[in-house]
Amino acid sequence: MRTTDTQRWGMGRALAVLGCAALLAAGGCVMQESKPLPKLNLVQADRQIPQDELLDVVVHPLDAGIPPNLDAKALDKQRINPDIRKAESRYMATQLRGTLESSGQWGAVRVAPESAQFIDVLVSGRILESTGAKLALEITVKDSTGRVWIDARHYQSPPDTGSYKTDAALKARDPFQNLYSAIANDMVAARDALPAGERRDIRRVTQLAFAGDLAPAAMSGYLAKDPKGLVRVARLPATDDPIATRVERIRQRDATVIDTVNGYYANFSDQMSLSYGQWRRASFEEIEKEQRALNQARTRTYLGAAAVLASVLVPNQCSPYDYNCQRVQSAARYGGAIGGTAAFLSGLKKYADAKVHAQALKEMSETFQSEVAPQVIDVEGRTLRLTGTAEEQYRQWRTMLHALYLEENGTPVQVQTEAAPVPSEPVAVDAAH
Amino acid sequence: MRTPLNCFLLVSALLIGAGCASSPSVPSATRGQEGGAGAAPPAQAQPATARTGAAADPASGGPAPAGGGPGEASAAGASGPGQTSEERRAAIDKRLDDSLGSFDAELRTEQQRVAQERDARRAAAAGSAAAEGRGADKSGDSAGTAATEAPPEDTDSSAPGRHPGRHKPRDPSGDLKSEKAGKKPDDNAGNGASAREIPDGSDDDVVARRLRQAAQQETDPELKEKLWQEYIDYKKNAQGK
Repeated sequence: MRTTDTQRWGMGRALAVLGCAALLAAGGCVMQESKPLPKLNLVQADRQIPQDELLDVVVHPLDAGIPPNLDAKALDKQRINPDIRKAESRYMATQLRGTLESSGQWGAVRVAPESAQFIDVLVSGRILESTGAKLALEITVKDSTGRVWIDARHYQSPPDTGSYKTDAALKARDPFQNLYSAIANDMVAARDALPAGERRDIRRVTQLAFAGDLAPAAMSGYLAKDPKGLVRVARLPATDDPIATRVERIRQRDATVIDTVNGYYANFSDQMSLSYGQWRRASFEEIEKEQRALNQARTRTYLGAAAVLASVLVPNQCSPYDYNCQRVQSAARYGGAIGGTAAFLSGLKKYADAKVHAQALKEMSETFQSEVAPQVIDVEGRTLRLTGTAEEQYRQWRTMLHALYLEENGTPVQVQTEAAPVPSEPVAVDAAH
Repeated sequence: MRTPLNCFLLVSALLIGAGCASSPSVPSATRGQEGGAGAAPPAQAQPATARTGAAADPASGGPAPAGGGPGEASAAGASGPGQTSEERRAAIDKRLDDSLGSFDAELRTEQQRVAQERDARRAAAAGSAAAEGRGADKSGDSAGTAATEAPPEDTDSSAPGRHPGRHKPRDPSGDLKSEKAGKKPDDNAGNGASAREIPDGSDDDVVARRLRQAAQQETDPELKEKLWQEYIDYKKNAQGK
């Protein structure tokens, strides 16, 4: 059956289109633009929060999220740089601290290690993914009664590319500020869901838990667990309880230790922020370029291969005597083959380009890693030294408080089992008598 | 009848004098009777032991001091043989006060160190920001709008309006700010950097970025000048290719 002219022209056009598409793809017309993100507003305090409801917050340095069983190559593939992650775990905790503090919704907000436990609200988390192009965290928030406000919730965000435009923009706003604002807003929502009485209870429980840890003999029995497993205030100590007064003095020092450690982390974050911001920006650019190159590579190789195959495999549609048709068909086949081949080769080159960007990112990361690793060691060393000193001090204070308690109350238990009161006349005298 | 009483008193006095008594005070049954017996004040504190020692009477033998607690109490209070409970408490309180004082001193030192490091860094940053500000930072539009969301740099959360200090006033040394932090260092004055236009760094490659960073962080004015010049020259050459 003879092919109609329409069909012949249609196939020719199809081949030509394929070839052109391949050439266009080779020309890099497949592009994606990333746009600045809309800013997520932080929920600010719009009224003065009563003192006894103003909760203190401690943010623990995040878990670096380094899979334990992967070798260096596998970590590289996942874009995980262990030393950078360790630095980020402290840096991100500081960023979240700053966000919480700037909301005005909380009392004292500090970054402190996991040894700081007697706090109204504790924030902990893990880094799931962190590059200049994406940040993903898993966050948990609990209060001192054991109530879980946020349970291992995932937060993730692309960057606000506006922050990457200049160093000043980077300094003014973290590219992932939206993520921290989201966490802060969720914490406020969880807190506001609690009645005022519960919020006051949290503060009392924190105080009594600290006292119970420091002076268990004197300060136990004030807390109890309810049927839900939450810690509740069973009774309160007397306002002039001498042990409670001394415990409060020690608690002020505890607060000062946490403040000091917070200062270490703040300085650490300040120190690394510029380099880290620049690394992030470079990371974002390289990842974008790599991704773009990979997308182009795929598009070009697929289209190119399709064009070549089409030019080769589509059967001859023209009559041997229809010279015009033959010419058009030949041109279309050549166009498809040449365009397809060019696209295919271009695609292969794009794969190579993608590898170059990946390699550039790896080198930048290694440079930054070597810069930041000693800073991490320094801040951790100082923190351990101070908290170790504090722990030793608490041990001594525990002993003193226990001694004071015994002096003020007599010997426990043994006092009750002592012999009957001594008679007015010495027994020995009577016996001797 | 009086003779056994006198013997008892004599033996008690001898034992007390020999320093055998060590137990805490127990109301003395014989205190009123002793009257002019001339018992030394320590005798009033340890009559039980004296009685036990004199009569070897198991009925009046007081229990041995509790193991851990009072043992620790005496260790913590450094109680001597003649101290009353009040005195021991005062001694422990004093030790607690001294301990708190010395710990405060350690914390003060650490906080001063932290504050000094922070101030030094801010002074350096202020210097580099001044140099950058004279550069072509034309696209800093997001800096202004984002400024309200930037986390505060102050590490102490004691802004009076929002979070009135919950704890008793802390040692203010942690809030130390050196006077230099408020001033803008003039390390760029007179070195020609102000006369030169520093290119925008948004299109920097790796080398340019590192040069720029080194120039920003350098505190020595001469080196800073040289680094900026290196950076500018590199950018010119890179753009000229």
